[in-house]
Amino acid sequence: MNTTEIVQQIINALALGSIYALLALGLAIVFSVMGVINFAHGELVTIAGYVMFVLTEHGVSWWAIMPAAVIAAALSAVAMERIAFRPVRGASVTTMLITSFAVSSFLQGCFLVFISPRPEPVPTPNWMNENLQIGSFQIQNVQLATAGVTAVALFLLVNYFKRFRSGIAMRAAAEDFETTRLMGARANRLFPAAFALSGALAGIAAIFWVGRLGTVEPTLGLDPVLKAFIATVIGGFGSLPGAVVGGFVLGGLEVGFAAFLPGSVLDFQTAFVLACVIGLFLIRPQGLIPAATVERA
Amino acid sequence: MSGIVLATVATTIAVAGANASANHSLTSTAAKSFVLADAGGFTGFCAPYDLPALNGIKLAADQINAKGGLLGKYPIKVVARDTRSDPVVTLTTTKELLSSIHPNFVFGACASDVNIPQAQAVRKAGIPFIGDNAEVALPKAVPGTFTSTIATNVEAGAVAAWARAHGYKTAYIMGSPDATFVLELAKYFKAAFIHDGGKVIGEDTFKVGAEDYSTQVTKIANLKPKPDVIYNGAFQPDSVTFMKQLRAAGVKTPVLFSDSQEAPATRTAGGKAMQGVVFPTHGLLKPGTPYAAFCKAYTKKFHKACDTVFIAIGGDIVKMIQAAVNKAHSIDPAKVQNALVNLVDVPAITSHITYKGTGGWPKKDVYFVKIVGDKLVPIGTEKANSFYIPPP
Repeated sequence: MNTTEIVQQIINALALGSIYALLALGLAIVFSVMGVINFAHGELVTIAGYVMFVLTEHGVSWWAIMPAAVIAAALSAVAMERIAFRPVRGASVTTMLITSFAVSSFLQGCFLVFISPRPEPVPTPNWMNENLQIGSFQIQNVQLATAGVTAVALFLLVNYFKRFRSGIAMRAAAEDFETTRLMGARANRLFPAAFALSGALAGIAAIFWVGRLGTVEPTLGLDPVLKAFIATVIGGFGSLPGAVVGGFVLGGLEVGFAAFLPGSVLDFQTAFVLACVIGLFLIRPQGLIPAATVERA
Repeated sequence: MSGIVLATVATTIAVAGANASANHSLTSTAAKSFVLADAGGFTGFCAPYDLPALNGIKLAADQINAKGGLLGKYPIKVVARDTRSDPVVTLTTTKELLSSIHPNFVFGACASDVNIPQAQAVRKAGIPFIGDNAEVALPKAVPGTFTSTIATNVEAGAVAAWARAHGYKTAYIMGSPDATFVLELAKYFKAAFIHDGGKVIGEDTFKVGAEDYSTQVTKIANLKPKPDVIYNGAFQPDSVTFMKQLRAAGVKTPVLFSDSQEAPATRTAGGKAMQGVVFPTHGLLKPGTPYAAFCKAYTKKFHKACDTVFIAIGGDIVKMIQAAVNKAHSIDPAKVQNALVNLVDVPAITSHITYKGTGGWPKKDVYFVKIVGDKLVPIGTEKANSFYIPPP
């Protein structure tokens, strides 16, 4: 393997890690206020995907489709909070976990019944499928856009968490939710804001996820939520920076093993990735950048 | 807690609706009817194949019933159940069907990863079974069963022969341990390509359903020397994702895929990247053929475009059953099974089909198509038995 190929694989790892970071961050934000992993997060990606499908079918410009997908996912997340999670707020972690599975299953059922069990095409614009040549390296536009949008989203989020009252409250809630409430943060605002933010990140991730796949189907959300979950676990439950780092670590491990394992053991690349995650827990059981206090769910 | 109750009730309603949309009533079957149970994945990853096949079965059954049924006196009653492309659900649903409706025949799910336990249960009950799949793993694991489409070793052998005939001397092969179908195709293509005088210069694996193939694409882009052709046994949407990333990386090497690219979404979603892709298929839609007539009847019945060959595969199954019943002069499952094993040159919908002496898969011609725009353009045929078939 030559240097060009090694550098190219590093670029691939960063691009893949960017998507995982976006997904994991969305999951971690809700975890920080709710104390539970929302396994219906993947369905927000699917909803955004179906919005993209419907709009492309009607010939809408991609410059309108992209914000529409993000807004649809954010609104769906708020609705999810209001309809499914608010009634069980304060219930046990198990109750909320089951609720998230129920929401996920319900939405998948809706996609099957009301849309189609078959994959639907989401033709992406040509610019997404082209590449940028920098010296001897090629960066696909979709990779560049993913990394760029992730960087911008992270920059905006950092500012939001530092400068806005609700952002500061969310950050505080990630450390200690009950104390944050005692300090005057209103749960009925904090929860929808966290879900909206989480949904928006799912919508952004969907643009690139569906953009790469080219199709959307009812079970599309399973893989993204699984990746996001593993990334969140790697980074440390409830830790927002940890979720981002976890996403990049997962992307790096996946690309690294796929690229550098010898052919005879290449079939075991997923096993190697998960073995590394297990190894990490033996060394750092709370993840790479754990939150101050978390209850595992 | 009310949230859980609400969500659970709503989920139940939605999932029940999903099943109801694909199922037929399981009310009592007519005493003198031939009960054809279709326990396929009408949702999940089998849906692009099993759902069109079910519609093809319904249409072909209607056509036969309009003439009095099998042997002119046994109408075909199709009982369909969605098994959600899940091996456990497939097995339990099939067992329930076997005990409740006592079918004369069972048509199973789309992949051997799903339908082998199903086939074992069906054959244990003495009922004939054809799976909506291509993997030779099925008839190998459950003797006496059949595949509905050309087997993986036959398909891979035909593709290798086509590749060599078109001057491709070196190949790079993509496979995956995640799906038996993809795994078998890669294995048999390699064997056939080498047997036919070609050279395999590299192999790689991928994760079925992955959203990213940049690692594999980078390896291909850096190959020296470049292969003449890439063979990838992937089904959609993996094929679309792979092709988009491959072409984005500037790799212009021709790519041959598996037969699973029939779904219209593959052409639409792939856009420019899928242009020129070649893959084998099970039938060619030409004017004046039984396939064309079947498609016309399909559109009339379902008010939908006849947009995938898997509709006709469903028709093939019913034609094979009809031929077996005619040969056996009976709808008794054991007699139908014996007749199926010995069927020769049956004029079905996509082609003439032989089961005798094949080991459980249909012997028929293998057709090749190329994606041009949003159409599939016929580009050739490998006649049955005209090419090397790697042993299963």
